[in-house]
Amino acid sequence: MTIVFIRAIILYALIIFAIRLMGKRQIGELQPSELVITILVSNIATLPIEDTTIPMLMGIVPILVLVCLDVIMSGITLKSRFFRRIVSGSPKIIIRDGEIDQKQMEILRFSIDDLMESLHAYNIFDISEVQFAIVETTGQVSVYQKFPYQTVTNQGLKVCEKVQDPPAIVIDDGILLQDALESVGYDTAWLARILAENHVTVREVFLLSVAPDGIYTLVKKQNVSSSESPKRKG
Amino acid sequence: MRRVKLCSLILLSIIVLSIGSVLFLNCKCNQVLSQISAVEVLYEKEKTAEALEKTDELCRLWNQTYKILSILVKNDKLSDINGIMARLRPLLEENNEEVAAELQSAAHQLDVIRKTEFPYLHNIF
Repeated sequence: MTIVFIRAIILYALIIFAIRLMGKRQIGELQPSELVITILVSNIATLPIEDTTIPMLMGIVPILVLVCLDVIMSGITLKSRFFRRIVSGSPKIIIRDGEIDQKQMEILRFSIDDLMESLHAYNIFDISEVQFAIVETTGQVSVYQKFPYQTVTNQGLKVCEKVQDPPAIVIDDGILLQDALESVGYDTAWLARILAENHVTVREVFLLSVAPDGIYTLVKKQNVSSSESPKRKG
Repeated sequence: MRRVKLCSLILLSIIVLSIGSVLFLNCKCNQVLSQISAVEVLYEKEKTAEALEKTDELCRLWNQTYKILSILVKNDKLSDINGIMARLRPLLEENNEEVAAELQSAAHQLDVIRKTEFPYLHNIF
């Protein structure tokens, strides 16, 4: 049992290393090769844990080889369009200028139900609203709506431009993030004033997020107070 | 591209280690096989005392080799040879006829391990 325990820890660390080596892409949308690697790695990792007569190397080596090959292949596909097309395929247009490309849907084995399901995810329930629909290499559908149905933007309404960075988390579970505070343009003196106004110390704050214009959201720790402070101007 | 370089390095290391392990396995198996042959020869010549001494040497060599081979080879392939090595001395002391058969069996199994771990085409497929 001790051997199983130690092997499980080692393989867990190895898988974390492997996932980090493959990069953030693995956690998001998967290409076909990445999906294969993910499934294989998870299956291979269980073998030396389940059967202690199998040497650990029989688990470690194939995982590392598969991961390294995947990373190298993704590096090659980054530089070579030809390889990219072979490994990942290319996006296919299934609705062009409002018309469904039925032949393309047949090639992709994409049914009307699949298409409608993808459109529903964009809150589109009428196919006539769609100008272009593209099936990406990951299988996800990207949709470009016709002009009358596109979401209105600030630019479209000619709203005055107001450039502002998003708020930053300045206190995270009682720990002050100095870099974040400086990034929104405030200092510890300002922070001390805000904390004094709310009668809390840094350690008593669960979350403090601050926007560059001084509007902040402060959430106290539950053992201090159960109430969340409304947004205030600092 | 840093990841690609790191992965290329890891892959290269694995290739080198794989080739090294095959050569190492081959070398160790040859050592044990030659020791087994030596015991066989002494047994056939009925030099029991010398055969027993050689058997002890063989068992010591096998114990060392087993520790290293168990990292590279599945344990169930080695467990039979373990059993044979444990039985050898008592059989020799009794001057049992099965000594030759056991030695042949151990030699054969070692040879099988050596051949199955080598990347021949029929092993890969």
